[in-house]
Amino acid sequence: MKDWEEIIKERQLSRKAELPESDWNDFLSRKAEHERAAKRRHRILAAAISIPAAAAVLMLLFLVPFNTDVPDNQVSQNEPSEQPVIADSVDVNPVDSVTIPADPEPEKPVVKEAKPVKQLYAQDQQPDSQVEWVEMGDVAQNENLVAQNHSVTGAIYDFDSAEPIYSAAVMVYRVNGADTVYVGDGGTNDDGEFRIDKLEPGNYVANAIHYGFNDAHKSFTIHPDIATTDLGKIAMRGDQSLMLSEVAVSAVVAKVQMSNDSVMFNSAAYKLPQGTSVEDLIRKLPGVQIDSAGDVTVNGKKVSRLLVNGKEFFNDDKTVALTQLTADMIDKVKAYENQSDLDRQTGVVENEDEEELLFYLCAEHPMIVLNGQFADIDESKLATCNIWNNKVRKRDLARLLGIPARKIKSVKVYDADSAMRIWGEKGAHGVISVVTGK
Amino acid sequence: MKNNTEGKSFLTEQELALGCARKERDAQGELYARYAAGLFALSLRYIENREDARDLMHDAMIKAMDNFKSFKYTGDGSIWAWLSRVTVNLAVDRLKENSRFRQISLDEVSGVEIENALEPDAESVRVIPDDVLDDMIAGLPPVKRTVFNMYCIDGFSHKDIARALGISERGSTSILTKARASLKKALTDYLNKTGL
Repeated sequence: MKDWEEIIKERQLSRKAELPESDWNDFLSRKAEHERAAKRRHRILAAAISIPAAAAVLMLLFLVPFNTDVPDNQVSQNEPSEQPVIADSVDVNPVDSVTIPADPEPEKPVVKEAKPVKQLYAQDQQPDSQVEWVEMGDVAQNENLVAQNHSVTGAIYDFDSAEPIYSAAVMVYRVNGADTVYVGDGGTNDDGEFRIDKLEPGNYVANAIHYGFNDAHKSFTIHPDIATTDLGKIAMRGDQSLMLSEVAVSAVVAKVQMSNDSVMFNSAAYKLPQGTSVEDLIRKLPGVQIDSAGDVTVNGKKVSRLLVNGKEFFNDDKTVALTQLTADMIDKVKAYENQSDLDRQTGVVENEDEEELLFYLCAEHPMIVLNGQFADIDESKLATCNIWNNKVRKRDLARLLGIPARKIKSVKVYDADSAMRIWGEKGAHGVISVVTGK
Repeated sequence: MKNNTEGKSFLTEQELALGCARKERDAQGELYARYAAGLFALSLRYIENREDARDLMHDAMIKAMDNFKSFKYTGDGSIWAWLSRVTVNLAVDRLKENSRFRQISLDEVSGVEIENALEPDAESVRVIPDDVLDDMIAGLPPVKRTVFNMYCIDGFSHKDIARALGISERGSTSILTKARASLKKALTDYLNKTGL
């Protein structure tokens, strides 16, 4: 970051915005409203449980009209079971919470509460934060002390002008056999220098990216004895494709790519005989297991939905998809965690079990030719668009190309053989030719 | 409440965190007294409308108080770091609900000339009045402003930004570069105009 940015940061972070006098009360009423809403949900749930229970009791009354003892017992058993729910909700009294702050007196409990804690440090005027901290029993910092104290530095420059590149981003991935895992990133300063801390010893790849330049990669190893590893100067070449209309894509694909929420396996990296089922392919993938019922787990987490080429296959019958499809039909297997909305908002994962794990299997998609030119498509929409068979819908194509569906005049689907005759290598997965009109 | 807690803030951050984790009302009040104004200033960087920003800050506080058990104390300043993350994540979600934010984002990513304006002098930047500086940042288009705020001020990484905004890391870096260029231009123009 530049000097002026540091100053803006410092100034912005020290700011306190003035709140209206009534703010604390406004907050409490909002909080009380929030708690009431939570309570309402609680009550609905309680009602949902108690209504069937009551219905069951009534049913019993009708079914056993002579044996009156039994239903009586049931009713009396049922009532206490409902009561804790009501008692619980009374506990969080919203009226109570509004009245507390208006009165200055209730602040005293803070003092009372704090005193015993204070006495811990009575002899020592300045409590040692380190000691205090160990009392909490938190181990996170200890781990840091042990391993994550290594750093990597380097400088990025423009190959053509030999000038340093400012504001390039450097991502560091840990390499473990065939896996790469993202571990951290940093930006470059005026002199093109970057520094990434808190790394453990091991093998890594640094990937520098910057607008207008091709990515630069550099592998390195962090030795336990060397605190700071210097990568020296790394050159980035200007991205010629920005100026040309055609983009040449070249990449070295790892067997497995991992990030925090998804794992992607490239099936081409696993050599299998022809006719092998997807099930056998999946068994070979690290961290993936299939049990006898056909349920797939990735890193111990159960897969809840399985999508093939963006669609549920055979009414979500996992065993059919896994045993009937052959591995050569599948080019990519992707496991993806679908967090609940609340977890995504707070960034705090509350209940690990509630995460939904989606499993995509997909073939390389056919290229789309728009008015005679290869078109860029929005890859993120592929999961929900089906362009793998002959019944391609205009709507799906329009979404992928980002144009209105009514503009599409004609669509032609070429299979791999005929597409390769016309377009060569690029047609290897088929081509969909789209012509638009006004 | 707010005014007379100043003298009483002898609770250490860790004691405060412990109280909040136990959902003690007094600890929650203290948490509010210490951090509300700062979080409100943070909210205003993301959402211009004062009422909306205050609602956002309130919701973030409620969310934080409800989920305080998942907070881990790792030294002084960790409460602020956590609260600001909760607030920023919530702010980004609010912004994303706004359809205008989505539409504009596409135009912004596509090529705009990056101007090579001169670097503004750091000491001069220090003396620019608060409201002028606020207006300059607020003057950035929503996506640029959000990325700038998240990266340069609130310390999010490109990875986090890409995830929160649903864009690629490369997209995040290029938006940041453009945001910096726009802001640099606004700063230099202002400094030239006022002769600082």
